[in-house]
Amino acid sequence: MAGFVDCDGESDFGGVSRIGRRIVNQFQPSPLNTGAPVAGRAVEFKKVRVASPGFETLQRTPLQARRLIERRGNNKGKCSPTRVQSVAWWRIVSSDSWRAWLPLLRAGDVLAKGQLVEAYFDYVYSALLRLSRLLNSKFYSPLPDPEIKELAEELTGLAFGKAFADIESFDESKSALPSWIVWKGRASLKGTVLKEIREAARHARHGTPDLTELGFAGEDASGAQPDPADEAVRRLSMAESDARVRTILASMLPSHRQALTAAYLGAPSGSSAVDVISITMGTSKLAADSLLRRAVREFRRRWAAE
Amino acid sequence: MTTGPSGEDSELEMTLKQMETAYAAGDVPPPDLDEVVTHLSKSPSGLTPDEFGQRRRRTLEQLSGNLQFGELVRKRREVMGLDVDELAARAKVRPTTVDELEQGDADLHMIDAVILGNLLYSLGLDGLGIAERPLRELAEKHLTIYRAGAGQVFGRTRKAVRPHTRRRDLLGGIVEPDHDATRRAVETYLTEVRERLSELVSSQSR
Repeated sequence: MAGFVDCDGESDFGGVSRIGRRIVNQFQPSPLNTGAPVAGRAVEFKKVRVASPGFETLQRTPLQARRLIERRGNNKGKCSPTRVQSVAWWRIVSSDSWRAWLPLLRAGDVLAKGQLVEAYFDYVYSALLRLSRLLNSKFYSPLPDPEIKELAEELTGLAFGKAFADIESFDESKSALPSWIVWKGRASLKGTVLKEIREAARHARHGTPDLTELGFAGEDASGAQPDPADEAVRRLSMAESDARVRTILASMLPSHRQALTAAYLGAPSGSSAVDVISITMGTSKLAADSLLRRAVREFRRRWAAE
Repeated sequence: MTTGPSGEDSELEMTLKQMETAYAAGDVPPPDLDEVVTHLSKSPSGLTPDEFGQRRRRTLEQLSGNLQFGELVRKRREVMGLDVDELAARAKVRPTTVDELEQGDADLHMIDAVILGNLLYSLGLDGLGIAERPLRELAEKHLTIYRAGAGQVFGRTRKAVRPHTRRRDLLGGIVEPDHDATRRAVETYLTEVRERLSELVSSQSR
């Protein structure tokens, strides 16, 4: 059963959803945002929350949603029934479903874990697949895409597993649970995807950059164990440095902060950082590059001033 | 910022390294994570719905492990803070049904799919999800259909023997199970449970 609401972004069928404490633009559909699809974008839904102008939010199956739209379609003349079409698949789930499951997840309920995976797998997998592809691309794509998809699936499983294990430390005031899971998965990127890329690159053509030198920032390429005393001193100075990083980021312009967060997610390379910024901020690569330069300059200036 | 070891490149590397170390150890994610991840996730992946579905199912199967259906029900009831009687009252089933189901003593022949749907809905489920595999395994045991042609089979019944065990023991070596028919029966049962859940979910949203 497929349904497609081809509204022009101004119709009265906008979903209102929350990610963390923030109200999201109601006309940007995503697995976390239950809003009506934007014009021209092929979106199918199993169930969609249709919000009336008075923000009365209703759960609807595709058929019910279609009927509702048909019934109200001529309201303001902005979303007519003739524009409801059948198209490709996408899953839209209630953005705040995870909030209801959080206490159950914290109590270790397996059914709640299943519900979370069922609802947010596509969201987490898509983001991690994108990061894995960027990483592969940076190193001249030594792995074919089907392998990257498999690795991203493995990474997604790991991300959910880590998230379930660390669920007690999750702070819902800092981020949404699905984003936090992606972040957990990103931390395992080097142990799964980068490792395989590295292995494949060893057998690849000459001219591939030495990945052991270009690994993630902070990664110990040699694998040698550090001296415990040095390690203690290093940790102390790192803790101070970490606090400074957080303070500086918090005081920066939102666009600069977002650019740096996107670059951080797209690490380890500058080029994939630009790609991630370009994707996440919807700008050209040139504009993303420019924004990143300004953000880095701002960060370095504040770092020097602290 | 993409080529050559310029000053800006090294500044970028240094900044990213500092961010990496700042956020690697702690549980606090970087700022604006939701926006960034949502946009990343939204970008076209080129995957078909079937591919997403297959990968999702594989991940769910890994998660379900070897848990029994009754264990899943019991755990959920406990974390919801309900006792057997409360859950039974909510689902409008007999407390013994809930109890037997949790203990693995229930016979699915005796539990209508609609009743099971009501029970799962009372536990806050809107689909089978992770419970599908354990329920399927249970249904395959309980709803086994045997081939016809053996005529009447007589046997003695002992106490504390579950009905499906009795059927299996009585018919074992006399008639073979009909695997195709069993599969169809299981599929029908699961479909009815799913349909009941969907019905309840949509009736609640009206």
